[in-house]
Amino acid sequence: MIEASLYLLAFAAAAAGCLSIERRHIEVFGNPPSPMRRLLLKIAAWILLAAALCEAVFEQGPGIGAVEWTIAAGLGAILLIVVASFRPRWVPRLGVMAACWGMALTVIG
Amino acid sequence: MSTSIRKSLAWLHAWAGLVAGWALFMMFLAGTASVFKEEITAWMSPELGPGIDAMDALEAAEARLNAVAPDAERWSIRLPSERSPATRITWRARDASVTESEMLDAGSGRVVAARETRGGDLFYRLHYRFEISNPVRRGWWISGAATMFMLVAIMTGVLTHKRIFRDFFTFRPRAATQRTWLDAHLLLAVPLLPFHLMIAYTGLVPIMTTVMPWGMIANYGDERPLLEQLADLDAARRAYSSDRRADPAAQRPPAHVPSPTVALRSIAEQAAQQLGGPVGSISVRNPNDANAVVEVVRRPGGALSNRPARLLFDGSTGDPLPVTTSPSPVAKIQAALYGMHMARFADPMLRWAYFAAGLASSAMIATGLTLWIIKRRRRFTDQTRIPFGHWLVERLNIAAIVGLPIAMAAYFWANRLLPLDVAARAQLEVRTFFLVWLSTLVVAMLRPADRAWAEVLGSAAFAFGAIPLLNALTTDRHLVASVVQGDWLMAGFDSTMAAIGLLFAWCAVKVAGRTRASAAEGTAVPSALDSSTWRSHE
Repeated sequence: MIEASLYLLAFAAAAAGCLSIERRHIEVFGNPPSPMRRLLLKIAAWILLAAALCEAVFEQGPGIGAVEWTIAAGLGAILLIVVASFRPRWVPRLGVMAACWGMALTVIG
Repeated sequence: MSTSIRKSLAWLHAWAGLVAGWALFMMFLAGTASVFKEEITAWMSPELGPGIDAMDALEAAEARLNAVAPDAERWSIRLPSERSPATRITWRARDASVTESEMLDAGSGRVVAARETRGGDLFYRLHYRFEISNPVRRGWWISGAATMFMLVAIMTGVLTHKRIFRDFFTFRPRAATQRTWLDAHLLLAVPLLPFHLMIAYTGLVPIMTTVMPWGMIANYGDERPLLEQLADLDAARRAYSSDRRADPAAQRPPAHVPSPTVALRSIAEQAAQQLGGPVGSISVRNPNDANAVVEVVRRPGGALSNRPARLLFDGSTGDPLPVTTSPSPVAKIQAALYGMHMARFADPMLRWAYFAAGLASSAMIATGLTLWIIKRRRRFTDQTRIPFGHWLVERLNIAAIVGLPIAMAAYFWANRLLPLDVAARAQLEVRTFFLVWLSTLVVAMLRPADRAWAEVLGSAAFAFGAIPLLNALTTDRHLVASVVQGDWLMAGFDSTMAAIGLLFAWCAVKVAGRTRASAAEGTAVPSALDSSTWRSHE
């Protein structure tokens, strides 16, 4: 199951990245993000992506790990964008849940 | 970038995508199905049950080979796995030109009378050679050319996209039709861009000896003039592949001194530990001869390379033999690129990810083909005069995008419904596939576009959605039974088919709803994909 954490972290990274976009943030929270909040969301997105890469390389080795990370990041982003387009309010909740589960699985595994 | 260059690139993107689009869609969809090639074959051979221990299978296979071909030139045994319950033995008798093969039941060691089918192999052959067998490599040329178009389309697509990063998270399902389709096209294209590039580029590696033979000729060519060698690549190809494959120890000639080969089970168990993974296949050269050589190949996994690790053993003593050749860095890179395309190394989760990404690629091409129509339709205000080209493109779109999946489902139906003892059964299944595909094109040509979309989508929903039912009626391995027994291969196939059926049903309802809505409004642009009720140009 530990492998699933890669996909969860990729989804969470996309959620954070999406919320750092002003228009998307307004759709979800009703107000534009402060510059600080935007920056933090962006940093969170990149950290989550990096964590996913570490996880993949650690689990599968650099070759397969890089391939799987690339696909996971793409699929995670597509899924997130679909969620954000039809159910924008779910984005923060699902993003936080995915991040927590992803990290929990990594730690347990 | 100046606007005129961007316009030219957009033009190139649209036309490169259109010209190769249908071929590429088929290559991507068939390739995506090929990710589960083994599983498809297993579903299509329901006589072969699950739960087989690989080592028991090996013993049964060895006994069978000793009975039918004790002094063959070579034996090969492909062991069963979770992905494929079949144990396949092949052998080639001395001085014989043909290789014979059988499928075995591991429990009894007897030959299984599984129904004749090509299984997932059809999609695999379709994927890179369009099921063209004569001349063998014509299909390679077509897929190679289509791949070049794909690379052109990817490059021009990236360059014409004005705000590739800023619009990364943009998808507006409720915007105007053309905008939504463009958003969907970008949504499928941009996040998976590295995957699209990787798959298109590495797809050239398996066929490079045909479409880019220069390097091979430079290294493995002979004294003939270059043009002659280009016209007949077989000699260079043989030298190239034997150089990559062969280990001198594995090629040693028979001693013609009888000596029983040691039990393969003990060799396989020893090898599995050294290889760090399960054994996928075993071959024996010169079985029951003093010079017998046993080659044990790991099941793919743990590395990108399409050439899994292997070990050699002396067949009469069971001692390991040194593997003397080690591949050059170039050969290793070639094997890794090849492997990346084939994804044989993938564990279940990564396999599903490849499958999902492949579906996204196929859908990207499908949305691109649809966009071509939607964009150009606006130019025609007089709805009765549609140019023949546009009429044809939309028909081909329907037959390619929905017709191909219907044909795939029909292939599965044929597998279950054709009598088991009919002659040339495997070919009949394939023929059903092509006939059904052709008939979707006929339907698309005879019906107005919007109706045709709704009808073929509805047919696809039924064709896929009813497959679990079909399986339940024609075999005893229905969905409930396979879930109860933990037979995840069978259960996974059935439920995937049901899910695909639901997806098509959703599309059909959407399309039919939109057609009805615009018909109620009495507008002149009432179509499914908002593509107007075109008649042919006459």
